[in-house]
Amino acid sequence: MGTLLEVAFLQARWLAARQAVTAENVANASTPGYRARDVAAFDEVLARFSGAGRSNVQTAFDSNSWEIRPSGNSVSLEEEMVRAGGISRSYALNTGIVSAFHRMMMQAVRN
Amino acid sequence: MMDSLTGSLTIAGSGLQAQSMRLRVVSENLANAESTGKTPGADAFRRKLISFENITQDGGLNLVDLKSITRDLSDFRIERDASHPAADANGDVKYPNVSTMIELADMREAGRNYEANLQVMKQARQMISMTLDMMKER
Repeated sequence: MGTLLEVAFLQARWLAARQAVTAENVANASTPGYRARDVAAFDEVLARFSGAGRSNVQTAFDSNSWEIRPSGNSVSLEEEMVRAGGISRSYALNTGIVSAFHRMMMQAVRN
Repeated sequence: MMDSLTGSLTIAGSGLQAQSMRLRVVSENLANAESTGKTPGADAFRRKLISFENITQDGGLNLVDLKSITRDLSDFRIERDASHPAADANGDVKYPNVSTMIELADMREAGRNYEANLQVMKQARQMISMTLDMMKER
């Protein structure tokens, strides 16, 4: 029982860290020389799994960015918006699963 | 995870501030698109250029900040109008090196970036309320 909540919590933290990195990319969309970044994939984080916070989620330059502008900036706003949409959807799914699980547990306790 | 989400709000806020500063520079350039000098042969208004840089705050947040506002040193637009108060001995008047088209394009881009930052902020707030909704009894 503990594992599901643990994994869900880890993924929620990973998604929150990813949202913060997306915010960094968007904020720096017109900073000369800024390279877009992304966090490490979730399976890597899960493998290293040690109470990951934002500091444990490593970020790296996004190598397959859609475009690089003459100023050396590789942030594509479209790409970031797509990513942010995905993060939001995954987060909604995550919190939905946790509350469903919680509901089930409460039902088991009540009966 | 809450600190990452509130961090997103701070970061998007710095982006909003940067883009509004950029819009201010654009409006200064546009407003002064016809500002000539006052004395004969004097230089006209020089177009301003804004530049941003990436700064890292103590919490590890990568914010955006104003780097510099410099002047565009390209040539002035010269027009011949001997009766103008700023005309030199040849009757040439220096007009600002502001191109309305470039300024409008820059304005559009600032607006687009502002919108993207707002979107990120909206989404981070939504994620925070989703987290809080988990605690609600259903």
